[in-house]
Amino acid sequence: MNQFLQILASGGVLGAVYAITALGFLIVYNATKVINFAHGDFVMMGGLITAALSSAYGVPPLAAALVAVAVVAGLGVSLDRLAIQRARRKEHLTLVMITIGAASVFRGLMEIVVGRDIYFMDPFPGPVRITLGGVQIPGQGLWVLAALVLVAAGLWFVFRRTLLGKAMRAAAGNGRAAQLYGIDPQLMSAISYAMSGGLGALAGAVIVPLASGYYQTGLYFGLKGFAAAILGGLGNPFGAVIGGVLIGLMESLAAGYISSGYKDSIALGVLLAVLLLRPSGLFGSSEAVRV
Amino acid sequence: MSLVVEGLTKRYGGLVAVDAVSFTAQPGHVTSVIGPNGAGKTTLLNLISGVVSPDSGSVKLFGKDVSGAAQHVIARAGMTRNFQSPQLFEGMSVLETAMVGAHIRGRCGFLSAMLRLPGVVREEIELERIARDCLDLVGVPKSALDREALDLPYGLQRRVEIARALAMQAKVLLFDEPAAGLSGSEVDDIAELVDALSHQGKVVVLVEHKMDMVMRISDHIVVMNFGARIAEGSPADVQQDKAVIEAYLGIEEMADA
Amino acid sequence: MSAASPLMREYHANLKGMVAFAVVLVLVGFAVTGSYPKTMLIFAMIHAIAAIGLGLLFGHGGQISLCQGGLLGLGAYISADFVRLLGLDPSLGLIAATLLPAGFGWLVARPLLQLSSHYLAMATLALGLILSIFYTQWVWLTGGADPGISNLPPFTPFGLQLGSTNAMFWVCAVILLLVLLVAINLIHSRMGRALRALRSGEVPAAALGVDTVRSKVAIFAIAAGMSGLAGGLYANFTRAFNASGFEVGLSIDLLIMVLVGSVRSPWGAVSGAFLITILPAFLEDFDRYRLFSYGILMTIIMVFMPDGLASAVFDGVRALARRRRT
Repeated sequence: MNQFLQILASGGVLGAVYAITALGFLIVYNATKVINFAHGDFVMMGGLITAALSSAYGVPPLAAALVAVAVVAGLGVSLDRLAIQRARRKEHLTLVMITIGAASVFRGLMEIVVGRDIYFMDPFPGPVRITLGGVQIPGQGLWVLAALVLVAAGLWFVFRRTLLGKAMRAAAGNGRAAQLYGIDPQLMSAISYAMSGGLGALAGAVIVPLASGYYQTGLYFGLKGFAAAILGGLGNPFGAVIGGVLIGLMESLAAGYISSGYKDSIALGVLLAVLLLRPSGLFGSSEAVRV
Repeated sequence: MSLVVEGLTKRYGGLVAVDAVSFTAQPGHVTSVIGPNGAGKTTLLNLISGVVSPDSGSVKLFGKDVSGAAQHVIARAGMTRNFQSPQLFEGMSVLETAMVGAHIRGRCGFLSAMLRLPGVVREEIELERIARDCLDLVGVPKSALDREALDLPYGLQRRVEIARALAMQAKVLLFDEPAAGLSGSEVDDIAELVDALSHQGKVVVLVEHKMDMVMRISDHIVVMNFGARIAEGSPADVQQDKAVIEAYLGIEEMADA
Repeated sequence: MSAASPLMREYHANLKGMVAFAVVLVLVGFAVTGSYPKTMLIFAMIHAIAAIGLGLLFGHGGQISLCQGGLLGLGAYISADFVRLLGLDPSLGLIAATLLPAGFGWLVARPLLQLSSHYLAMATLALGLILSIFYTQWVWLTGGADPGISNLPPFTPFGLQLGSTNAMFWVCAVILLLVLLVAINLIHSRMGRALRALRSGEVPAAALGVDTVRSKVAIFAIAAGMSGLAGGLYANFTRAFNASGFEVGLSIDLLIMVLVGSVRSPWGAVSGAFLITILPAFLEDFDRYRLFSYGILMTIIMVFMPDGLASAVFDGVRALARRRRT
C-alpha cells in the first residue's frame, strides 16, 4: 500500500509539471489559436539553463531559475515578433511549421551553447524531504506543487481580474474589434508568448533538480503538455490541470507496475486516444478540432 | 425532378438561424430566396448543400433524402453551389480550376493515375474538353485559361467559378449572391447566365440582394426574415405582400431614425 | 492527343526532364568511383524517395506528417525481417516494405485525417515517437536499440548479386526514377488536381464532389508506402542499423528537404534531398550546428517562402526576367 501511495505521490509531482506546461501552452493557444510546437523546448530550456548555471557556474538555484525564466520569456517574444508576426502566409499550416522550425532552433541553440552533456543540480533551498503518512516527498516536489498553485492562482487573477487579462481575452476573441478599443493585438500576442515562455521555463526549472537537464527533452515535454491540455479539453485551463495530474499519475503507475521503458508511451497513447475517440477531451468543446 | 426543402431548422445556442423553412424549387425555374441581412439565407444554403447539418427537417433531391449528408455526397447526387466570395483554388490555373469542376465526371483513381493507364489519358482529354466548353459558355476569354485564377479581375473570377460549377453538370445549382461586388453590365451578364441555366431545365436556387435582378429573372420567390419564411410567391405577389414590405421598410425606418 | 493542350505539354516537359535526369544519373554512376561519394549518393536517393512521398502529402494534400522517419524505419525492419526471420527473397521484403507501411498509413490516417492540421501534426509526432519506442522495446523483431539489426545478407533479389555499393547505386537510381514517374503521373491526373484543390479549400472542393477524407487518406498511405520503400532500400544497403536512425530528427530532415526544394513539385523534393544529404559532408564540424541551422532554415523558409526555397528562387528569377523584357 505504501508503495502505491509513494507511486501516486511522485505521479502527482510529475503531473504538476505537466499541468504547468499545459497551462503555458494554453496561453498562446487561447490567445492566437496557434499550437506552439516549441513549447516543450521552453520547458527544456528552463530546466537546462537553470541546471547549467547552477552546477557549472555556482549560481544559487533560485537565481538561476529566475534568469532561465527571463531568458526563455524573451526567446518566446522573439519567436512571436521575428517569426510568427512576420509570416507572409498566416494560415495554420504555415504557423505550425514555423513553430516546428523554432523548436529545432531552440534545441540547436542549447546544443551549441550548453552542449550535449546532462546537467544535474542540487534541489532548491528547503527540506530535503518530508514524510506524510509513510510517503516520502522530496523537498523539490513541494516547490513543484507550490509553483502549480501559484501559477494557477496567478493566471486566474490575471485573466479574470486585471485589465491586461481582459484585454488579452478581447484580442483573442476578436482582434479587429479589440483594436477599435485601443487594444493592440500584436502586443497582446507578444505578451502571451512571453508568459507562455516564462511558464514553460518555470515548469522546467522546478523539475530539473529531480529530472536533470538535457537538450533533447523538449520533445517529450511538449507532447505530454499537449496531451494534458487536450485530455482536459483544449482551451480549458481547469481541464489542463486535471489532465496534467492524470497523465502524471498514469505515467507513474505504468513505470511502477509495468515497465519504465514504456512509460513515455502512456502520454503518447493518451494523446492519440483522445484525439481519435473524444477530441473534446474531458471538459472541452469539440468545435475547432475536426475539419 | 425538384428540390424539396421541408421544415429545415438550425439552432446555434439560443439563436434560431433557420426556423422550419419549407419550399420547393422546380426544374426550369429560378427560385430566389431573399430577405434582409441576417435573415438566415446563407445558413439555409449551407444546410441544403451540406456544409452544416440541420437540427431537424429534410432536404430531398429528386426524391432522395440528402439531409445532413456530406458535401461531396450531395454533389454526387447532382447539386452544387457557389460561394459569396469566389472560392477559387490557389496556385491553379483557370483551366485546371474548371477541370476540378468536372471531377465527378471522371472515374480513374489513385492507382490508375500513378500508372498512367490509357484510361487516364483519355479521361484527361475529356475533362479538359468539358472545362473548355464551360469556360467558353460563361464567356471567359481563351487568353485567360493559363493564368492563375486568383490573378483575374473580380468579374472574371465569378465567371470562372460558375464555369467550374457548370462543369459538374449538376442538375441543381445554388447561387449565393453571384452578383455581389459586380455592377452595371456585369450584373446583367450574370443575371442572363443564371436565367439561361434555368431554361436548360436545371433547378436554380438564387440568393441575392440586388432586387431588380431578382425581380427580373425569378419565377418564384421565398422571403425570409429572422430565420423563418414570411412570404412566398411570384415576384408580383411578393412585391405587394404586407409582411415583406414591413420587413424591408422596417429596416428603412430604423435607418431613418 | 491534343498537342495544343498546355496541361499535356507540361506533362511531356516533365517526362523530358526525367529522361535528362536519368542520363545525369547514368553519367554520375560511371564517373563517380569512390565508395564514400557513391554511398552519399545512395543515401541521397533513398532520402529523395521518401521526400517525394512527403512532398506529395504536404504540397499536394496539405497535410503535415512528422512520422515519415518512423515509417521509413518500419520499411527497414520489415525488409530486414522478411530476410532474416522469414527467409524470403529480399525482393519480397522490398515489396512488403512498401505495401505494409502503406496499409498501416491507411489504417491510421482515416481517423487522423478528420482532425485539423495542427492536431494532425501532433498526432503524427506522437505516432513517430511511439514507433521509436517500439523499435527499441520489441527486441525480437528489431534487435532493440543496441545492437539493432546487424549482419543482414547482401541484397540478392532473385539470386542476382546486387549487394555491392555500385550495384545498389543502380538499384536505387532505377527505383528513384520509377517513384518520380509515379509522382508526376499522379500530379497530372484528376486526383492530383483534386488534392491541390482541397489543399486550397476543402469546402469548395467538397462542393464539387471531391471526397476529401478519402483523398487525404490515400495520399497519406502513398507517402507512407514511399517512406517504407526508402526504408527497405536503406536496410538492404546498410545491412546494419538500429532504432536511433528513425527518430523525429529524420522526419524533420525529410521535411527540410522538401522545404528547401519545392513544396509543390517532386523535382524540388529530389533536389532538396540531394542538397541536404550531400552538402553537410563538405562542411566541417557541421554535426554540432546541424540542428540549429536546419531549424533556422526551416523557420526562414516558412516565414518568407512557404512554397519552398528553390521554387521561390525560380519564381524570383522568372519575375526578374519578365521585368527586364518589358
